[in-house]
Amino acid sequence: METWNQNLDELIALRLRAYRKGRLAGSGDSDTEPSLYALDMPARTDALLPLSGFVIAAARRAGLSPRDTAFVEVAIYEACLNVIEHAYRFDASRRFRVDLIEEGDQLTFRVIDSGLALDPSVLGDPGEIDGNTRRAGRGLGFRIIRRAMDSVSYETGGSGENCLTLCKSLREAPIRG
Amino acid sequence: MSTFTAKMETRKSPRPIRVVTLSGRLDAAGLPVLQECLNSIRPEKDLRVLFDLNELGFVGSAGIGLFLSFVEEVREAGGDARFINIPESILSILSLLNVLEFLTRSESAQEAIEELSV
Repeated sequence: METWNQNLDELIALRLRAYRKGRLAGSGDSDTEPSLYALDMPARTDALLPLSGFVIAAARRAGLSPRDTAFVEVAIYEACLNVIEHAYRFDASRRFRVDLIEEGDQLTFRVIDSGLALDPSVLGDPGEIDGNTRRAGRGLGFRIIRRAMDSVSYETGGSGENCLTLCKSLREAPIRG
Repeated sequence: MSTFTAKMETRKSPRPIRVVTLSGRLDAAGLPVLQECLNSIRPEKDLRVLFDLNELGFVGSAGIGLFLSFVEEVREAGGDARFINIPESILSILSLLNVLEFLTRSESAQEAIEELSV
């Protein structure tokens, strides 16, 4: 597993080029071994743009359709923004990690922070958006995450780490070229 | 496509219609730009607004929330809004939330202007 901890833009650009050339294999050069990547992210909203570029490249390489790629992009964006806004309350000195695991017919992202834990109730089904929610204009992030991904789970560990795991099936994705 | 911009112009046919053209990424950085743009027309009564999303590359939950709250407010005040040229990727996200019916779409700017002129 590789860790990127400096010059995020440059490293992601480098990795994106590798993705486009089909050379990014991580620890999984064969179809049977999982590919593992870990991005060490600063808790800054401006870091989310290069992260989105990475997520899009990873989703496309995994064979996801444009629609599912858009779903994964927005879900990871919302998960990371939640860490910055709520777990770390915009403390830009904090860091969090995004893991990408491509294994078998599944793409898995893990967003790991050491800030304030989520209220697990946000992962429940909030139902349809009503007039009150529209007027408030808030509380949509986890609705998007839940519906955009095939499964979402959350764990808080004794070490103070929180881990949000988001999975997307590749089963119905087009065959890789 | 990264920097978010919101450009607004007014069409007078036959009643004033605010045409808001959005481009770039409507993310945490872009949100204040759209808020400022919409705040400038919020006090108007019987507001008619046409959003053109043709150049919008991404919208996060806060951006969608702003669309919802603004349109709700405008309609409660007797006005209305239409959306045109929503990119496929953003349509998919709006479909996830089942808000496409509320954020009424028109096929073209001309059609939207006719509907908003009623």
